Amino acid sequence: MSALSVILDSLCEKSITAALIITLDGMIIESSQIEKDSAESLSAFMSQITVTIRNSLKNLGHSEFTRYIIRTNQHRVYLVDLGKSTLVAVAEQDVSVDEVNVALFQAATQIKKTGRLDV
Amino acid sequence: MAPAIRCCDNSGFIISERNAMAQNDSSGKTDQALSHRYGSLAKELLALRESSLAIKTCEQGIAKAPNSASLYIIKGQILLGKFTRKEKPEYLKTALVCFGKAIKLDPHNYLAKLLASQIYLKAGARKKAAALLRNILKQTPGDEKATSLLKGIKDKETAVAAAETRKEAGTQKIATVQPEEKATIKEAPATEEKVVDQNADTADYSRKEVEAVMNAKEPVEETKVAEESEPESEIVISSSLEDSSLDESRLDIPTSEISDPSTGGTSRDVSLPWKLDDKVVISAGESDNDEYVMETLTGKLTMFSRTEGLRGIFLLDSNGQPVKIINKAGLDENIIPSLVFNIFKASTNGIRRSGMGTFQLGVLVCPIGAIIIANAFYATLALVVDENSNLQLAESRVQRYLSEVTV
Repeated sequence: MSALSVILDSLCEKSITAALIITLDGMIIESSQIEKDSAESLSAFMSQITVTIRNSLKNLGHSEFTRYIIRTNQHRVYLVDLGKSTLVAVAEQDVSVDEVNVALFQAATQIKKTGRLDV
Repeated sequence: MAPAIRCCDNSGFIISERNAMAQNDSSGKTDQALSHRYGSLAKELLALRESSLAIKTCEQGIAKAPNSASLYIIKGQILLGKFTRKEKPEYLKTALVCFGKAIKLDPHNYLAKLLASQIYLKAGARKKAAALLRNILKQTPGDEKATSLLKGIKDKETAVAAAETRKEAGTQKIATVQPEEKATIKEAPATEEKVVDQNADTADYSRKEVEAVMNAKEPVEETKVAEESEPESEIVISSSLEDSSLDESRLDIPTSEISDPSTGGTSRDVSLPWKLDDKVVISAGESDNDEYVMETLTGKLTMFSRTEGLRGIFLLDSNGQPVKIINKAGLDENIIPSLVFNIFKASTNGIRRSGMGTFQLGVLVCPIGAIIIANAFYATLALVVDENSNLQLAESRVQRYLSEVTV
């Protein structure tokens, strides 16, 4: 079991229903608690959103964002910018926002420490 | 101590507050405020069906705030409306010039690029349209309008290529199988060509010229094929453009920033026949009902006046054009609306297509602060607050706003 997998699995114990790390072009680096098909579809569309955000921020002289939270009528989707990759987490609507934010911050820091971002 | 200038709207909500000493240094901000006011005035005039006055208002606004992309877009939209009613191609041409200027000023403006691409499509300049659409997709991957238009262009090009292949194959077959009838066949096309040539003196020739101007690097072969394969579907509107105020060279949209480097085309004074394409509908998509909704949405913005850490509010219409901007922190009023609209569109598409439900609200935490993006009826609302302020409170306020405007 890889280090990234361990981080994602532990994240999924804290109110997160599914988590994955994706590249900017939509490739999955690691995933947890999500079927392969769903993961591929989610990574494709979430990478598009990430690219859009980063492109838009470039005009303002910034290259990265901290996080983007999307609330839908079914879920909450969290995108955390890791530089060359993005951490995507799916949670239920009624989740504790503070708890998830802290968990995601910790997970993002751990992922960065693994040094496996330059894929 | 220098006196402070405070601008409030009808309800006393502070729109902007600045020091008089700083006013001269912030000409950019003044330009934005001016363009916003002229834009609003032009829209009001348009609602009163005073389109000529609305255009003049835009022009006056542009003279005072020449770096405002939104004024060029509003002017272009008004001209598109006039074209829809009167079908005079000069309106379309001037609209294209306006969108070109807007793209130059704001290279990431979605609406300007989309409308310019539709005009190019209408003029038959498919490559330029495709370049703009590809640029939109680069900025907002998966955008539905751009994707469908690009697909339409590809389908058309495939059909044209297939027609050309069929024609070539047919000619070769005739040449090999029926050599004895060659002479007779040879005579017939010659006659047809003559007829076409006679017509070309009036409409066809000028259309070729326009396509050459509009599409400097488009292969000549493609133009010929298009003419041959779809002669009946083309309706050519011819009009002599003698408006000296219209600089022909302005037709060149600055696509150098848009992936297609073919911009350096020479321009000549030609009459403008536009190829009508039923698939292309150019419209800003606004109706009286939308304006009423916008008024309601704008009126309720006072709810945010006491939001902690509020830096700005951006209310955009369904095309991403700013309807109301309340800027308390000198945010860039050209770039932020584009940013908000692009992210909103990408999120809406992405969430729907990945089967995660329907987009309701997005919170982007980035170096400029936290941007809360919400789908407000026919509009997009963006609230920019300090990153350190209570985001949940701001979110709940947005939720309350949405519940009040949609009831």
